[in-house]
Amino acid sequence: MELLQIDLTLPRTDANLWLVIGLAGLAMFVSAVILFGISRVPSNFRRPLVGMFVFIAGLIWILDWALPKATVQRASGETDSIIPIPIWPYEYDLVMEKVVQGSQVLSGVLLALGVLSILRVHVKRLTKGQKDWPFSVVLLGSMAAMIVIGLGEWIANNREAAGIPGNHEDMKTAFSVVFIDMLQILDAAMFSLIAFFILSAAYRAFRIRSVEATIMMGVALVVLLGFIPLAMALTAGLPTEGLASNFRIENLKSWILLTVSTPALRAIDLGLGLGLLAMALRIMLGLEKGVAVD
Amino acid sequence: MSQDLQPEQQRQTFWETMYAVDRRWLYLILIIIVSILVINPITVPNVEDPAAEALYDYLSGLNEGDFVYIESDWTNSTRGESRGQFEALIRLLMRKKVRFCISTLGDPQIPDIIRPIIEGIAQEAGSNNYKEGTDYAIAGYFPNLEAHVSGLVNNIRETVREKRVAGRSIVDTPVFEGITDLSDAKCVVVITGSSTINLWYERIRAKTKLGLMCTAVMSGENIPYYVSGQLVGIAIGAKGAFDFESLLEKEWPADQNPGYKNFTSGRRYMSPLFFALMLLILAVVMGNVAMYQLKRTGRHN
Amino acid sequence: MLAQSVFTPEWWQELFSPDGRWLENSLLRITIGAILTLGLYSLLYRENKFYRFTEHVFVGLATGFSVVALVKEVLWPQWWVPMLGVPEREATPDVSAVPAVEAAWLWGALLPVACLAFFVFSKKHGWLSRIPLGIIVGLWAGQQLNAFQNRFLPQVADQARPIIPLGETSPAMAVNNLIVVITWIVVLSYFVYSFEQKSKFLQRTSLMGRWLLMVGFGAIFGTTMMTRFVLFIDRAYYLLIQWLRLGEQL
Repeated sequence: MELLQIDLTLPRTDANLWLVIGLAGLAMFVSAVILFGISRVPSNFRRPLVGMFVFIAGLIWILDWALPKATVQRASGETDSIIPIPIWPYEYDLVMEKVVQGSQVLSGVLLALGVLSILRVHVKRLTKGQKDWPFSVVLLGSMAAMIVIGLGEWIANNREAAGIPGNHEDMKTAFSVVFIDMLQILDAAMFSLIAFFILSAAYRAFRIRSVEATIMMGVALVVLLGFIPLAMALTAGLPTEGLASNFRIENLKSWILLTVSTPALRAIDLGLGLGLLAMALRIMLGLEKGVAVD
Repeated sequence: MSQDLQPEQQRQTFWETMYAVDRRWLYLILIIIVSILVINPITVPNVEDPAAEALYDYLSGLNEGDFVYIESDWTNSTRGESRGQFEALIRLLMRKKVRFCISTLGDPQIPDIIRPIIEGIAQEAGSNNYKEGTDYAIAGYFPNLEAHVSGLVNNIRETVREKRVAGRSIVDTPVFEGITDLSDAKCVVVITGSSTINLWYERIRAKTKLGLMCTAVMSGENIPYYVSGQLVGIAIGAKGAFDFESLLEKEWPADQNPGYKNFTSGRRYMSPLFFALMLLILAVVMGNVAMYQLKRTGRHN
Repeated sequence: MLAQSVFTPEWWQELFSPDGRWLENSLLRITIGAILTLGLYSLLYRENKFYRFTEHVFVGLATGFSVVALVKEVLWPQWWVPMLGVPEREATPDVSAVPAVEAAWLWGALLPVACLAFFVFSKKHGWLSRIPLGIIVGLWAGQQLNAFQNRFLPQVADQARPIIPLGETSPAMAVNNLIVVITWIVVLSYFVYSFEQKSKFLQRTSLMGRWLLMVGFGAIFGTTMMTRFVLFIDRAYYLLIQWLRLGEQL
């Protein structure tokens, strides 16, 4: 079925570069003008307006869930008997592709917002000469270094791929130093510090005072030992078959994990799932505070 | 202990000291124990976890030429657990002559970290001279988990088409021969230290099997999915790596297959882990006994 | 002690090896990482300047990297390239061919929408930042139906277990299944907050639910400890074996 298609893309050749840039600029301008218009709406229209954006965004995914998926011809020759539904002017899968792409860009810019706040704090500390300002210098310096080297490596890679001659290796080496040998190592070290804090907390805070605490500690102990081959030696004397085998520590661990811990966590999971669903609904209908409503 | 003190007094001072001990002593003991055992590990026998064995057995039962998709998104921050799992998985697939394609999420550098590991394993005895572009492909890094998983489920060839090996798109290489849909893969194995697996549960269609190799901290929330059959198996943490290594050793004993390397970090980290956890358990016990003793003598506030 | 360890002159020679460029010296690079690691670990002794320095290096690098990732993984491939397109390039002996990408110039309209987020700093127009945020939140909300169906419903379905020992269900399995079902119901009942639990029965099950919940938390707690300790063991391996070479490498 051939539907009316409005093609909003241009084939890109070297000749029409300026045409493409012009059209993209026009799109930006028109969008900016519309948004300027939106910014002028009376304050009692603001809430429904934001709510509308939220609702439409949610509806896109709900339609994706509700609409049948496209036909798939498999290697085995078998075909899934689901009908593709073309939504004017595109097929829905294509729409979804663009939606995911666009949402990436949006969340990317929101992330930049976070970077901006860190920057504000440290630049302020630096310019006002507040306490510990030298550490802000360290932070801003390593941030700048990472940005320069990271983007430099990216450009070097692109130039290499495009066959532009030059020394591309230095940037790549520099990047692997700041990324693999510094950032990733710091990341790993930071996470491993928690081992020490757990140890200290175990000594000071784990007081077996209630039934709950006792159960939790007991289970944690069995699970820990059940994962450690050396600890399994403790019950290695028990037979591997029959009733007594249930008391081998690895079997006890598996039993706890699969039979008691699993349904308990599932109950939490179900609550979580229902909660998310309810919250999603509230958000889409504009009932949730903090999204479209204060 | 000196004779002139009253026994009661002695015990009190001892427990009081224990109760108020500086945490840095604990840290020091942990550092010493782990250091000794990292330098001189003790080799231990293993009892495999059934959930890890289920994954191993499923993969080990695949036929030559079958295809497995691997989503690897571990970085150095979970290297202790994930690297051993990854190596054992690659060894198994290569020995079974199963084709595989790997994509990575999380960090753009991961392809550069895993490529040398895979190439190293391909050189080992028993790895059937695996070659990139013939037997396996690295689809590289995908920044967007969401789009990537949806893309793989909807159209695997289009999703990885851009990635090239020796000038050819990887989907035009023998690795992707006969693969038109994700369900043509016998399994998707996710090796992760983060919650990327959740999206797979949400998106994957029932026809494709899903296997998980995760860090121990993630096992609690993911075992339910193994029980419900949403996962064929799950290898958990360093122990999961050790399980895979021991199962490799059972299938290809090193003494009968010279040059086969079955054990790496999984086994290596077991003994330090055991003694570190023993210290932890001891700490809990001591902390409680000290509190109890002080309470008994009424010195605990 | 291994031949190449830190206690041998070879190790020090390698560290300061004059041949080759210094960034390609892998021992030197590991040394940089090791010093940073020790910087973070110095916190275990006490809060100090060395730690603060390393911490700020860490935050700086991580923030910088998120900017890099934003540009090269998101803005460039997901927005700039699709918007302006790419002309086709023939393959040459050195360079592989690049297929043409059509220019979807309408993507340009997205930039002003995204930039509304920066109004968050403005008192007067702060509400405009809710538009991009609302779109993202709305998209998330829309996905939850799908997520619930694929992720949580199979869990519920699996709770329906045979509890009567007939046919393929052995008595042991039936008992286990019964425990699974009861645990699930009892823990769920613990979460019933919407009315006061006056009945003795509900109070009992709710208490039992709390205990069974502790079993779940105990399991999570145990595995968490394992992960953290393995991470530390891996760091010890990095420092002692890869850096100082005090033992055999894997």
